[in-house]
Amino acid sequence: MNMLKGLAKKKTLFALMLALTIFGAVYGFAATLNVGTDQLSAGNATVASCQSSGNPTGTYTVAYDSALPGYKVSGVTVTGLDAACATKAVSVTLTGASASNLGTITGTVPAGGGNLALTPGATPISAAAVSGVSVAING
Amino acid sequence: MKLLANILGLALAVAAVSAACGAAASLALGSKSLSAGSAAVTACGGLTSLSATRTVSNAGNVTQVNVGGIPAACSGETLSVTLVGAANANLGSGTATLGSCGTTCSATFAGFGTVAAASVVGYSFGLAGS
Repeated sequence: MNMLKGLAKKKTLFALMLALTIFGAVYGFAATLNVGTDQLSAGNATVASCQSSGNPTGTYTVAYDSALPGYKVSGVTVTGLDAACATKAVSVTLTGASASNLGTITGTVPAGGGNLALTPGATPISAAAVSGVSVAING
Repeated sequence: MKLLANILGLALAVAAVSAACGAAASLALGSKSLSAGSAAVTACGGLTSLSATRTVSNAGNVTQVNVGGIPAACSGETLSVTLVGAANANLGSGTATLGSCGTTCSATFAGFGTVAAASVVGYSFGLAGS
C-alpha cells in the first residue's frame, strides 16, 4: 500500500515537472519573439466616399503667359460636389503626356458642396499640354 | 490532488492572460472618406487651322482682330486671343464666347487699347470649354 502511494506521489511529481518544463519552454519562446520587435496592431475599416451622386466636373479658364509663351491654365473650377463632401480636402492634378503630373492644386470643398474654384500656383501650366485631370477628395 | 488542482488553476490563469494579450493586439480602426477619379481633357479641335486678320486705324493701332477657321466643335466655348510682341510680351488680349457655327466658327475681337500694329509679331490663342 505504501509502495502504491509512493508510486502515485512520484507520478504526480513527474507530471508537475513535465508541466513546468513545457510552460518554461513556451514562456521562453514568447520572450524570444518579443525581443527586438516593435508593437504591431491591425484592424480593418471601410473607406467610404462622400460623393454619392453625379460626377464632379472640371472647367478651366486660360490666360496668356509670356514665360511659356502661350496660354496657361489660370483657373480650375470643380463643379457638382456633393454636400456630404463639405469641408473636405480636394486635390486636383492636371496631367499631360504619359500621365505626367503638370501641377497639383488643392482646396477645400465649401459648405454645402457645389463648386470649388482653384487657382494654380506660380509655375505656369501650359493649357496646350493638359490632356487629363485627376481629382481626389479626402477628409 | 490539491496540488494538481492548483497547477490546473495556474494554467487556466496563464491561458486567460495570454488570450487577453492577443485581443489587445487587434486594433479598432476607423477611416475618413476618400474619393478619387480621373478624366481626359479633350480639345474641340486643332487650333492650327485658325487664321487671324487685323484691322488697323489711321493712327497705326490695332482696332480689331478677326479669327476664322475655328472648328465647329468649338461652338459654345470661350476663345481668347492675345496680341504678342517682342520677347513674347502680351500687348493686349480679348475674349469671346463662340456662338453657333456652320462648318467653321469665326470670332471678332476689339478693344485692345492702344496697340501699335507694328509691334505685333504674332497671335496666341486659347480655348476653354464652358
